[in-house]
Amino acid sequence: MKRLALVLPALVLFVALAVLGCTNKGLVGPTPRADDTVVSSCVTCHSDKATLQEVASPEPEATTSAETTGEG
Amino acid sequence: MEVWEKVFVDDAEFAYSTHGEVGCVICHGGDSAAADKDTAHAGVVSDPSDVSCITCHSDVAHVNDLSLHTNLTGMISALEARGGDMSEGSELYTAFQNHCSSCHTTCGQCHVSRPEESGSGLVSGHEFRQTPSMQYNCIACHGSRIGDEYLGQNEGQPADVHWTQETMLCTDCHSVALHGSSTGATNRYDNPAVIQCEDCHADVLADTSDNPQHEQHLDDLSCQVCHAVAYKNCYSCHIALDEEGQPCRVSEPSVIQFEIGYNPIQSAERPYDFVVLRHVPTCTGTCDYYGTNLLPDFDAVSTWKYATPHNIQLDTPQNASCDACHTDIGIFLTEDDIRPEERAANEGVIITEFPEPVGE
Repeated sequence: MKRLALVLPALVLFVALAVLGCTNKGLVGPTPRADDTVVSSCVTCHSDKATLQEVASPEPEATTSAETTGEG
Repeated sequence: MEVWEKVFVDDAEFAYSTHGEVGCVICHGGDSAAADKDTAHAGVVSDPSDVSCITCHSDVAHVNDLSLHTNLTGMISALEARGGDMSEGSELYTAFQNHCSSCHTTCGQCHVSRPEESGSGLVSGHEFRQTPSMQYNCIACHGSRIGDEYLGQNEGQPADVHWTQETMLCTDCHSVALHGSSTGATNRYDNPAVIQCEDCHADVLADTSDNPQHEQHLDDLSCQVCHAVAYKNCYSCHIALDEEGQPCRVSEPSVIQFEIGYNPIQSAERPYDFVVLRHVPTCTGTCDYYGTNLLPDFDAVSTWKYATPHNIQLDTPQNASCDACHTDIGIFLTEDDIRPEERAANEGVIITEFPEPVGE
């Protein structure tokens, strides 16, 4: 009986941990990080279409001739 | 592609991916805490492949310096073999730097963005693609010859059966070899890891009893001699001046031809006597704009090179019967096919003895 009293709570604890471990909570979405604001300072602009369009600079003029051809 | 699209990270979840977790600044530099664009981008390196990738991917990147995609040794060794002086500051070196050296790639230009040569720009947000895009990466550079052959875009020529029947992508055949050879290859065939037909079609070598053509020719003909169709050949690539007086690279329109010649790189891996040859763009005056006689030993290397056209067919005009090949002199490279100024360079590959008709 004593042995059963020890084994049963251990079994319950094991099952509980196993169930918790098998949940997919962590896969639903990104886990917010402590330095989230730092991470997003680049991504915030680069994932915002309107901002990018607004601040985009024209590409520098090509230094090679426009007639340059080549068949790869 | 608009400028803003090239740097548009269309999935903010990237920030939480393995590479995103590293943070932008670690690889690209700049100031992630800055509020204005100019300060944030001060010192930014758009393609940090040269120094960043090897930090974590040393298993792959340690041989990348030896990859022909990276160091262009294939082009450089061909120029040097023709007597070209490729030492820094030479006329040929300057020509190469100005007009040829942009045809190279980096880790990022295969796995993240389009190659610089085709205009750059992220392929899929900032997603790191283990397998590069066939359309936006491989064919972006290798489109005119290999891409057009493979997809059947040369007028009158069918697409490759590996595409039409199996939808195979470039990387299904070309994988680890693209990351370079530990021995430092000087051309694309000089690498033990390069794929060969028999790597997949071992059964053809194992049993030739049901195929008289294989029985007869497996040792002396490359596979493409019988199973490729006509392909693109380029001529007369050279530096000229455009209307604004700027030096530019020009060449003649390419020509669809099929030419069998002697094997210029016969080896244990490629023991064939007869192979398919493709004309390379180089000509005697390729770099004349930068100086005279920059390729003083031009004749040391043939301008018709060992080729593996990517338009493989089971049935081709030349393998329809024995005499379809044996009596068709037009498919063999002869002196008449070669420009007078290139005949000496191609002496070793010009067919001098034609096969006898066999009456079948």
